[in-house]
Amino acid sequence: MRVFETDILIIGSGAAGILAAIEASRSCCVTLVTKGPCGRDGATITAQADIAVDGRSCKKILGLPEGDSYDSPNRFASDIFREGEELGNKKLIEIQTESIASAVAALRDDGLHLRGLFKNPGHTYPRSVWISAPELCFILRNKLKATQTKVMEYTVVCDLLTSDGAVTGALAFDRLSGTPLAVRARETILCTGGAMRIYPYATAPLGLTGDGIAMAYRAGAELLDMEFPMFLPYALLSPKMLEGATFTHDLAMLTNAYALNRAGERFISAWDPERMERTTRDINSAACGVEIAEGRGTPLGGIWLSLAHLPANIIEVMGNWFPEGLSRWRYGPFDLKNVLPDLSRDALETIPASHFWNGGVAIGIDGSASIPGLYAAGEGTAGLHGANRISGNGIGQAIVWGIRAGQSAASRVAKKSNARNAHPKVDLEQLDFIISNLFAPLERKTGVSPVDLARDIRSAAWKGIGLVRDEVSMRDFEKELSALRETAANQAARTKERVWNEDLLISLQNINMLDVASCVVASALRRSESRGAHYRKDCPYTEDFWDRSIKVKRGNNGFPLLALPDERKNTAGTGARRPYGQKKRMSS
Amino acid sequence: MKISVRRFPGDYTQDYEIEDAEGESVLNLLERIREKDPSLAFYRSCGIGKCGACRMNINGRERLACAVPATGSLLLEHASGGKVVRDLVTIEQREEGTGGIG
Repeated sequence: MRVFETDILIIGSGAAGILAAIEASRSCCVTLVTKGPCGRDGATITAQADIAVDGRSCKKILGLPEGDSYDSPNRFASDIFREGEELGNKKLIEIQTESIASAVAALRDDGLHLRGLFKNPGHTYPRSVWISAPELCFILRNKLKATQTKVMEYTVVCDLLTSDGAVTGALAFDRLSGTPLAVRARETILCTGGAMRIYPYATAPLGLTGDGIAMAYRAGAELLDMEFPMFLPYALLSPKMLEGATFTHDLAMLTNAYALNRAGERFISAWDPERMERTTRDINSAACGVEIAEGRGTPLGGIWLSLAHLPANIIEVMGNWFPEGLSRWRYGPFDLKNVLPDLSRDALETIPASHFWNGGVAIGIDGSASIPGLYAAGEGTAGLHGANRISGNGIGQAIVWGIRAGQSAASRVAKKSNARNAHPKVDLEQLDFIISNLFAPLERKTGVSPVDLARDIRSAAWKGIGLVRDEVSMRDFEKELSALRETAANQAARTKERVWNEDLLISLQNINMLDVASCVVASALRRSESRGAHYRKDCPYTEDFWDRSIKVKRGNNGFPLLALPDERKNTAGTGARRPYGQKKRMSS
Repeated sequence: MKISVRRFPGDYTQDYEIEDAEGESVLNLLERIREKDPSLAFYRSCGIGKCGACRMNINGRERLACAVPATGSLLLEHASGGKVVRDLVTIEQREEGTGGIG
């Protein structure tokens, strides 16, 4: 086993991880570990990317003439809070809306093209600055190369190392050489993204299995808002080769496309007759989920999305004005005219696909987690979005909080510089335990295939904690989780190679998926109402009592331990409720 | 349909027979093959043409396996230019030490 020492360990190489590394490496020795190729394996590169910036700053700071001067960071902040169903943390929201414009301006100065400004659902003003995500990743990767950061690609972190309740680094596994390596770090920053892949349909890359959230949980850190995984309605379901592609969602938002059930009805009229398909993503997903669950979906279990009521020549030229990716009906390397049916005649099969993780590691305004030695940034953190994220705050969050966590961790290292020679101790017993768990699937001759187990976890999660929830199916899911956990303790890789063993990687991810799923179901059972991305058909109303977030920690018995923060006790508990999807009248 | 895969280590070609399925990419096909042969190594990340992880040589041309429809007979080889890890997985050359992408 190899052992490394570093000031700051960063896990993950999406926008948050790379920006954290760039900031921290100005004064510290930084090591960045990532599962795949740097800058290309996180969720950032797949974003159908827009970054939300208030209109005034768009005009003044970014030089976008369409920016509306009546807009402001404050108005942007109220939209985030309102659309997050009043669960967002106002301090985090304020930092986001105040910091994003200058961060985007810096990226523009590094060569990022700002391709236009659009208004997306949930925003009162046009705020969505369209960019190309692959271009952003390319720029970030080059900026990182110019620093002294040590980057370890194709290296998967198995677990955090802890000593006396503090994080002291991590144990990782190099997929290329097949060897484990221990990284001892003064501070560790998790930038590992969400757990979108606990579901069978997802818009994020395969590696987004909630690794950082699960590792933080196992190390004793607090999680927050775990019942709010977000789905993106109208992601493509068929053909198979484009499953999870998101341009169909943009078609639904930016054109007069119709969402239809198997009877050809625009079912969304019962949910939001005013905005119809242009309503927010949470309402769209719940509405689609009910149609699918009640057997009114497409043959593959999705929802039809149709342009067929429009003249063919209008459809033809849509490809020319679309903001990203659809030029002449090409989507990256895909020639859609060969891959899709004739849209002037046929509808597409789409599905609300797992898209974003609103909850995650609870952080303070400096990006620190609740246990010493640990920071987190980007999608795997909670508090900014509350119960529902509005468009443009995914990449925006990664940018603002990646920078912030990198700076905070570096200044913490500087403050501790008098103890510079004393690197945190490593618990050798813990190290042995993690390594023996890591290689156990290679040593077992019989046991469940990790690929089969992953499929079982996903299909159970879709049913139990998917688009539409209720007490009975969540209790069933809890039981199923216990059984899946027992199975997971007996995973056997079907091939025993150490180098690039997919089964071995999946066996590690499965454990993370199970931990995350158990936090989701525990929180979702406790929240006996519907709000934002959490829709319960057995309680389809939003209650004032629940104007608060649920915290989750790992209990001593290994099960999730829930807590309701008392901060808003005085304003909660009036018993008032409103139908799901209806906003509360703002008191301030 | 028949798919031939150039495999490493050893540098040999292995043939697989698998049923056609409508609307699948070469990458989808490889995933189905791996269910039967877990030793087959390739890399999938985003699956929608953005990350470049599944770049390989398909019938003599460098392509993204996720964006090529699976039809006809196929010869799959690793992409050129990098170091072969196993089978269809290649990486850019790694440099040890600080200062660069590892």
